[in-house]
Amino acid sequence: MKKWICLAMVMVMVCAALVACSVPATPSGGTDETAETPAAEQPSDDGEETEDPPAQSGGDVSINFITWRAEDADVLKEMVAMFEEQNPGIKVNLEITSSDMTEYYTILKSRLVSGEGADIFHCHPGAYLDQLVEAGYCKDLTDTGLGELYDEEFYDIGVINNKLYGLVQTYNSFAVFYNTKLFDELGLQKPSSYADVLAAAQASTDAGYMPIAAGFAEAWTTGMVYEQLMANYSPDDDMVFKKLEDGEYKLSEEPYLSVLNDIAQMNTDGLFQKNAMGTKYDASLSLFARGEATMLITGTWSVGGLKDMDESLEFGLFSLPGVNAEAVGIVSPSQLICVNDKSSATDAAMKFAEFLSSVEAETFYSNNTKQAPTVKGVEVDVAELAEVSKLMEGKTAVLSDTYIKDPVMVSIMDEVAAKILGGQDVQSAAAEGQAQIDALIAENNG
Amino acid sequence: MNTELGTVRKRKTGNLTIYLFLIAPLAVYAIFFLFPNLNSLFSSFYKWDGVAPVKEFVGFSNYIKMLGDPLFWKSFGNTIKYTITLVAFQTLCGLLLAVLIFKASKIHNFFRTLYFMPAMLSAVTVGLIFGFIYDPNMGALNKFLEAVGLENLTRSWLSDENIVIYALAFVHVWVGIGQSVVLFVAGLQNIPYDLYESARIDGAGPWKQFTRITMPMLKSTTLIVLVLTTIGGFKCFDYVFVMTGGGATHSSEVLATLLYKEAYAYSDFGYSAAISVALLIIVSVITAVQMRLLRKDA
Amino acid sequence: MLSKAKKIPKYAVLTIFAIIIMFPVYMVLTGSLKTERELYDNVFGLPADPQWGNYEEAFVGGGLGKYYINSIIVTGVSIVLILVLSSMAAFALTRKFTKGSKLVYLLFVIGIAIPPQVAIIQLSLQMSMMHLSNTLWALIFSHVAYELPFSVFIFYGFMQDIPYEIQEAAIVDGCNNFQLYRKVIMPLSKGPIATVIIFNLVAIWNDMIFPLVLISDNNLKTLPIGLLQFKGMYISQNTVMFAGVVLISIPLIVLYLCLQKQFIRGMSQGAVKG
Repeated sequence: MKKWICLAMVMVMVCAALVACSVPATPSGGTDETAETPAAEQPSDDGEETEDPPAQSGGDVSINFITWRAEDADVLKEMVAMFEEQNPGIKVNLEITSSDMTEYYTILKSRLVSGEGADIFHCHPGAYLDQLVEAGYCKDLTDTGLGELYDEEFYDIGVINNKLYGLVQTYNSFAVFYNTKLFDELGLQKPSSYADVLAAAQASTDAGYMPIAAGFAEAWTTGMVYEQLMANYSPDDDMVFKKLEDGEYKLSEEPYLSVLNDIAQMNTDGLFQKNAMGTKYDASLSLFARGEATMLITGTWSVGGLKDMDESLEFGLFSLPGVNAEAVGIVSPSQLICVNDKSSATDAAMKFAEFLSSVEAETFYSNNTKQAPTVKGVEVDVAELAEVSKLMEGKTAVLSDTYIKDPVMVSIMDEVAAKILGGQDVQSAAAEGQAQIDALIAENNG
Repeated sequence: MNTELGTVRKRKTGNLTIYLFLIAPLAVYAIFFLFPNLNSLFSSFYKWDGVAPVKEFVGFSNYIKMLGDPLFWKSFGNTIKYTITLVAFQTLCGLLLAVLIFKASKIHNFFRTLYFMPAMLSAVTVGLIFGFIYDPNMGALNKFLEAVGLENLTRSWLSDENIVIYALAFVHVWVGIGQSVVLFVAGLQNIPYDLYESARIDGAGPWKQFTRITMPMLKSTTLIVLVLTTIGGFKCFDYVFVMTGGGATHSSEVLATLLYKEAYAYSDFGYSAAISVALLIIVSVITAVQMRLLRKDA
Repeated sequence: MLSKAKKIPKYAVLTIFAIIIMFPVYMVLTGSLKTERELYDNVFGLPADPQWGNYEEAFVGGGLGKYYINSIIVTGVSIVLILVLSSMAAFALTRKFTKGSKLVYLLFVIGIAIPPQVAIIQLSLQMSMMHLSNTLWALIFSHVAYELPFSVFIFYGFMQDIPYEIQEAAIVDGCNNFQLYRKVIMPLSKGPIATVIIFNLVAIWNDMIFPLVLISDNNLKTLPIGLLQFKGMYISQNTVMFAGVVLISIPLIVLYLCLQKQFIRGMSQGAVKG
């Protein structure tokens, strides 16, 4: 056995040597001298090029900007080019991951923990921002003057413990899109009450179209229904979700009971297409764009994408009303811009954040992605955005403080909604959900 | 140890080079596999969100939570269903096809090549393709059923909670069937032909030949197929993740997707690590049992 | 000899399986040449007017060119390293010179059961500590380490069965251990070599999780990541997506078709004896 101890020691030494003297150019260290092959030498050049940590001043600094907004890819690329032209010393490596959130946060977190690859990044308001701030990865932007460039109503969204950590790049709203051509064909008007929506859905079904295309196969999409209903039923209580998380409200009591009952009612009324639970979100967009469904439930972020899919597609927007409640316009803050406080290129990243907060950049972003601007003084001239602002003409609710903080809570809510949409009765779905919430509260307190 | 040949001295210097042989592979394995994995498994005793600089020691509470977590048991059940479906189809269909095409011939070779082809595709690719085939509104499967007059069989394949896990396992079978065919073909080709010859002289029919000769002679091949597919089934992540992400309402959640979500979506790395430990133990035990059973009566 | 009538059910079974297996492939191939509308309205038929532009869009728009090169480098180097390292380890462990070798073998094979999602953050931390993050080496080492267990398992199974007399004869002839490995054992191990190559080729070429997490530089990404980015950029452009799928899968399919005899023979020799 002595030999094995020797062997173990040799291994440890090799490990140590590798860690200690692995300069970027020779990453192979001493582990594989027996395995050198001509092919093995090729990638080391790549290693050298990208390895150097950015220099502090002078010379070129390169920063990484990481985001999940694949829909905005082309626009963001152009913005990076604009920025690089204005700041010749800084190179921005734009990294767009897939639009799956779990995947995005897997990548973002591993980048942050390893200290490389995320100098400036997008983050959702709520739980994720909380965690990253707590772990010290978000730079305090309070006294940088950047926050003041944004409309006041969005300032608070990036604030935690009275300090500003994120800048809201744009906001969205949930809406039901309706195909104006098909509506004309069926003699329908823009719906304003639940009865109207129901009539439109029935008329569509009778004429052989799908009613509201919905992609409920992805859990988060149900949130567009229950969050909208939540706001409809308690438009003046901006802590309504928080209270559920704190145990003050229960799923089996008002206002949640109405919300869940409405979801069940919509389902039995046939508001959504058959198989909505098995339809992927992307597929639901496609059903609407191809004129198979007269309506579509999504967010205003889809405006640009739908136009890309079919230039001739014409649509209007309305907010989904509750069975017994009027519709409220939803202001849902989208991605936050955050700067990595532990990065070695914070200064350059700040420069880029400044650029993104400029009127010039935000105007470009809003115009081209057809999303609503949040920076003061930005005027946008896009027909579709006028439709979005119409959603905000009545009462509105900002989903900022109302955000559920705990991602487990979100998944419980998604699940309750999905169960009801899948045909389970409201009472048992609510009871099961509440049991999970109670367990979560107990775990968080204990 | 066999010492009758070779001198003692030779053996000693020889052993030294053997240690040298082991150093490089072990070093790479230790640094890039064992170390990160052990590190990760240790966090099953901590509460950690993946980014915070400090981990909080919580003893066995992650394991206790796991045993009382209905979602863990649901995922466990789904993993078992998935694995059993996978193993059953891979072994039975694989064996059936192998019996039909094990003899060397051009046409058999053609089928063998064809059956193995899906194994070349990446999980993302396969997920995309089958996501499209299973789509309830415009997918090929429902359209096919409609076209042949079986409308009442059409359904939402990936959201029907009674079906989704089998639909996913089928995709895995689709990818892996060629592998078991090839393995069984090799096993069949290794059986000496004269065994059958003498059996026939003794008056044994095809079925008797199969049960008395083929089956026992295929023991080690079957073991390999069983072990490989069982491990593949328990580790399955890609197909589930790409096609359903574990939904709807966790009806297709398996252990590998659950532990991934617990870590990265719900930021509970400690709990996630506890689940991976459980997964590791389950797989090791089942594999060991399979080996024991098959080796014993071989 | 079976009579013709008896062969009919046999070929019916074979053909049904072949159709099930080939249909998705057929769908992707034809789908990649259809227009978006045709894809839904005419699922089973051939494209009326082949849209070769889908391929152009996929290749140029997806920027697949540089991803190909990265994928080739990573896969190639990893496989060479895996072959050398796993055969060396298996060779040493099958010498059975001490009881500990069984233990080391177990240490290796236990890795087969651990999915890569478990330690991905720790791994990226490790890479950055070693200044390897964002290099192709990070991918290569991760792949090598994660594929070693299975490869060692295959080589070990095979080498264990090589008759001891062959080795003793070589030693009597004056071979040292290195020569024994190089000149005797490796030339005998064509089967397991083929098995290890084919399994790792598929696994590494198609792997998504390591490049996703360990590589942030767009110039160093591999093909599957290109496909993932596609998914976001071409929402509902399934035809372009399919074209991308074809472009990414083609190298392996072609390689497989060219080498299928060696692959299949090697796989059977290698695995069955393991």
